[in-house]
Amino acid sequence: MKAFVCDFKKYWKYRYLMVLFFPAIVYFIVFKYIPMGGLVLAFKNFQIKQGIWNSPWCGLENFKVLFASPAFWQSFRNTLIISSYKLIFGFPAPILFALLLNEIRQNKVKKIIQTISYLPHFLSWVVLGGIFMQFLSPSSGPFNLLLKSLGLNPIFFLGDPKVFRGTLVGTHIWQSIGWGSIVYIAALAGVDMSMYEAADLDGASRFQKMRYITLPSIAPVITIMLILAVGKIVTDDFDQIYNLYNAGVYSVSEVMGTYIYKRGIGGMQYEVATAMGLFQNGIAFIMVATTNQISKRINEYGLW
Amino acid sequence: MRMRESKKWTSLLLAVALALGCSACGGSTSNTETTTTAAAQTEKAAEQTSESVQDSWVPDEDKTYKYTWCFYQVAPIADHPEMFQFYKDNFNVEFDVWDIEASQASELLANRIIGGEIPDKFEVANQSILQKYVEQGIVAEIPMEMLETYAPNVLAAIERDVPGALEYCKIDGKLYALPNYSVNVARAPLAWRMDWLKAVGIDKVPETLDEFEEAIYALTFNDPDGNGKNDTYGLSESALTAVYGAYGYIPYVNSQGSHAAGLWQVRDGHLVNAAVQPEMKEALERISKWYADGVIDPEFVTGENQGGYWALSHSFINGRIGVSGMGQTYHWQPALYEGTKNGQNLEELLKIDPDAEVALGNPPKGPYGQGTFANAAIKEEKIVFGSQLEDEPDKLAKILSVYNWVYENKDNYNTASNGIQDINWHYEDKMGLDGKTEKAVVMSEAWSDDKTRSANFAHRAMTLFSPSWEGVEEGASIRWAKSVNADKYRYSTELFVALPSASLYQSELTSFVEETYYAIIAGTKPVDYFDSFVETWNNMGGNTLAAEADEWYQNVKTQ
Amino acid sequence: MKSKMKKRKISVFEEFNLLLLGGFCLLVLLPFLHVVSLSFSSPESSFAQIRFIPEKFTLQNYVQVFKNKYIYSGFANSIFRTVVGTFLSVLATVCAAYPLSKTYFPHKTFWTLFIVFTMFFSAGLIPTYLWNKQLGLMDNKLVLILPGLISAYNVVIARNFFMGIPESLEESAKIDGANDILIFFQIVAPISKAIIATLALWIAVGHWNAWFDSTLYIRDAGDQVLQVVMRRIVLEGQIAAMELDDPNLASAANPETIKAATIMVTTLPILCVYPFVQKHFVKGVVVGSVKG
Repeated sequence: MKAFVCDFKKYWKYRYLMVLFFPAIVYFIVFKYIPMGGLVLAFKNFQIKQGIWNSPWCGLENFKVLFASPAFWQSFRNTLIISSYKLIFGFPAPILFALLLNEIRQNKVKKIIQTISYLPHFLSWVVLGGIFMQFLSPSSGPFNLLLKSLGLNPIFFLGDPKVFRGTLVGTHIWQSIGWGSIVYIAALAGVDMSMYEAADLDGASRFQKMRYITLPSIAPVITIMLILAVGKIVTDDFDQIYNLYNAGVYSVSEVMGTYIYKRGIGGMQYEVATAMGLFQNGIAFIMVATTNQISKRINEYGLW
Repeated sequence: MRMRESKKWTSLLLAVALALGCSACGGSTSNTETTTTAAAQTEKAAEQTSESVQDSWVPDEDKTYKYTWCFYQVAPIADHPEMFQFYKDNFNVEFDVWDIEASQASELLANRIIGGEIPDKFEVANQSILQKYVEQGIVAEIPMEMLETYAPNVLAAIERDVPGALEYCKIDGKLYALPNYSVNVARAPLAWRMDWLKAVGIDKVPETLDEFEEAIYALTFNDPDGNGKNDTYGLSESALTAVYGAYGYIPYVNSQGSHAAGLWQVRDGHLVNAAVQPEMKEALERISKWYADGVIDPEFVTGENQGGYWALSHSFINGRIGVSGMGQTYHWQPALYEGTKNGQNLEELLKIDPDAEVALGNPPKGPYGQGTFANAAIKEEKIVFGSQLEDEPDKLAKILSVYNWVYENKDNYNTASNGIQDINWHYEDKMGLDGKTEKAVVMSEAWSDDKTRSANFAHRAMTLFSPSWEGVEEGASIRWAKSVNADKYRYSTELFVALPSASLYQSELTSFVEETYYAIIAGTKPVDYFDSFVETWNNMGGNTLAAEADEWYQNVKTQ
Repeated sequence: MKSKMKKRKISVFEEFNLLLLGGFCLLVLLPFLHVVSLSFSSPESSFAQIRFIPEKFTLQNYVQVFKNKYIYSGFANSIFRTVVGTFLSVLATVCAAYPLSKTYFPHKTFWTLFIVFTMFFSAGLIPTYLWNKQLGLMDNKLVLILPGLISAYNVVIARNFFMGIPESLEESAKIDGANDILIFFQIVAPISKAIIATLALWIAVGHWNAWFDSTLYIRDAGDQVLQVVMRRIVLEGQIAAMELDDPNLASAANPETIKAATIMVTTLPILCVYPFVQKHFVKGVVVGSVKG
């Protein structure tokens, strides 16, 4: 009771902040937490006419069905591998891009490059799937023609299991680098110019300035983005993989999303899909919580 | 301290959320209750004599029946489609069409159904979904007698064109759906670059597998396009199916097919899965040799289609391969008479090479006799009615009688699929390629394509399937399809039900089959790997499915 | 002499940098160019080949696209959801983010988790659909805006930016007696243009590209957003599932040229937004993200 009064006093003291925050509370309860009750579907034997809540419980049956299948674990492994590659190579790419762009002095050129860089974000994978198939063809695609003219062997980007994951990462970076760099570009806009001026006076080189001023300035954003990115390690880009893969590369690229999709076509297994989602989200949450703790220990900031 | 507090908060909040969630999700309860009581009533009614049951079927002449309707729509319905008025005037029925985007139709429809809204008529994508909907009480039973009484023409057309197709639509002996088939879609084609064959000294389309082999080697190494470069291949992915067929089985259906569940064929009185038959090892041995010799396009795994219209074989169109099995026969047909177009593949090929020539061949004869190729005449999609119509049998009977009108004769069918005669379309005498003159449907300018027909509530709105007609001469496209034997040597699965364990194993097995076949062809796995593949296939649940399939088959046979 | 050397070194780096980024732009542009040139090619040209210059140049495809009556209603609906949706979302996001950036906000960790939690655990399609339906959002334009009003992801990023604002700025205002709401709108918001612009861009593009909610919740074709209209045109013929009944009558699906023109028509308008946002990314805005 005492704690409650104490809390109330605190909230009263910061009532204006609370007024700002209140709509968010309502929003998240109404549109996120209430429907979240539907996650019980993962523990139910779903009967359409009875609705989610009145369907009979089935305990962990849906999870058992999921975990019993070796193909599921294969897809889980592929998801982890592909997402790790995307994290390792795809995460730094937009940062590097933003830094390089930041070094361009001519404002017009800078703006043009930036605008062009985020064009691919607007093409959906359905459209890109066909385009890449043509562009990456080992025999007729411009990309391989270039390799051939350089005297290199053509690469079967979409059909060779050894390179297909690389293709996924490459096309992912291609599509998202410009768009992903926006947040860093915005952060770079906030770096105090006077620091650069002071550094210029000290005769600092371009790389020294990048190393000692620019990077530290955007480090908090990078940290937050990294923590968020770690959470994505168990998710997969269904649209991308579904539109690019084929039977020749199933073994390296059947991910959880495509796996459950294929199963679902056969029999609308909503319960199993929900169970898988819960499994994925649980792992993501644990990963993020862990990264967050580590980050807090190392540089004192984190998500919460 | 703070941590503990926030934990308390979290659990409280979750509890609230869950409680609210219950009420959110329990929303459809009342709905369910009414349905169950209504179902009980129907059951009671069914206990009475069948004559009085049939009395309840009789549609009320003065009543306007209004249907919620879903169909494969390529365009939204227009504001006041003429066909709405037509059905209102002639049958006193009205339609409330749900505008559902075709590419997402299954998913969107499933959401609505789960949300408690079941349309009076819709389509299901395959057997498993039909089975699921039947189990869940979403789909109405169509009493056989009702079909016989109110839609004899529909029944007669099915019996005439695809006898046995209704078997696809039954679950536990009860009819729940109407089949979807087309006599126009005859068989997967085997299209040869005839000008290339001639250039390498082959004057006729190959008929046996040995001739097939000879031809593809020549097409690869003898520079059929005469450009002095070794840049052609015999075949790619799609024609492989014909090669398997030459060995008697079709192990998987490539990207163009619709039987995703895998093919089951009869062998020595038992239903078996095609992919694990020993003949397939022989087929793979031959095909992998072709691959090693460079006769198969090394890019075959990515398929022949590179986006856009599904049936296009870009590899064939761009002069890369000499034989293709993409799409259906009609994608390769020439313009049959003035005002019609070439089939899409032929059209695109001629854009690039106006001198190109295409000839359609039969599936090659193999070591075990005449080969077969996938038959697409019967489609996996089926037409079903919402379970609410079980409570209003007169409403179901009424709509069946409208279908009956559609399938009474070709004129009616043309009206249903094209719009109102002499306004949206008219007949014109046209001379086909074979010199025969026929009464052809010619659309008025404004109603000339699928989109406008769809918008007018024609196209696929009130048709179930595309039948043949008694006493009406076959159309030019069917005559042409028959002239290339597209009505022969076709094959489709003989398993008509979704197996009980299919949802557990099928999708994984299908991926595994394709993956293994491709690996053996490309030489990343030796041909002998086939034996351990069969073993793994069985262990992955394949033997369970095989047992279930054969059990079903033996039951059907004894009946 | 020394300064000359330095200048030269810089320009080598710069040239290399320009070359690198220029090469990347080319890589990005090629597939786009393919779509653009297809959209200006005659439908009689081949669809099966890559091209970077239009074949038999024509504007016919665009004329055809604009003949589709749903393009106009689609534009209107998309503009509505983008403008109204972006405004409301940005407002709600920054209002949620600002209090969380204050160390003294009561139960800050709990409230942050309260929001972050939704990033990982979401209800899934069906429960969400049933709930929104129960809220009466079917066939209601608000369904395109409300359910996705605040994204936890955006809140976290905005919060981080607000954390970087020097405390001293606000303190002086507090001494003058201004409350947190006034401080936020009068002092913090104006100097946070970069993050607000970023959020606005993200949210606007998200709104512009979204289509699934529209097909799911909205039934009337005239109320669909532009992306739905576009998908209908572009995806037509891409699935084998259902095919034409009578090959004699079947006009082929939309030619690829028209599909390309449709993609251009739906993509260009949102591309035009960018320059307006970009000018807020100018260097020297006071907001820093020095600390976390």
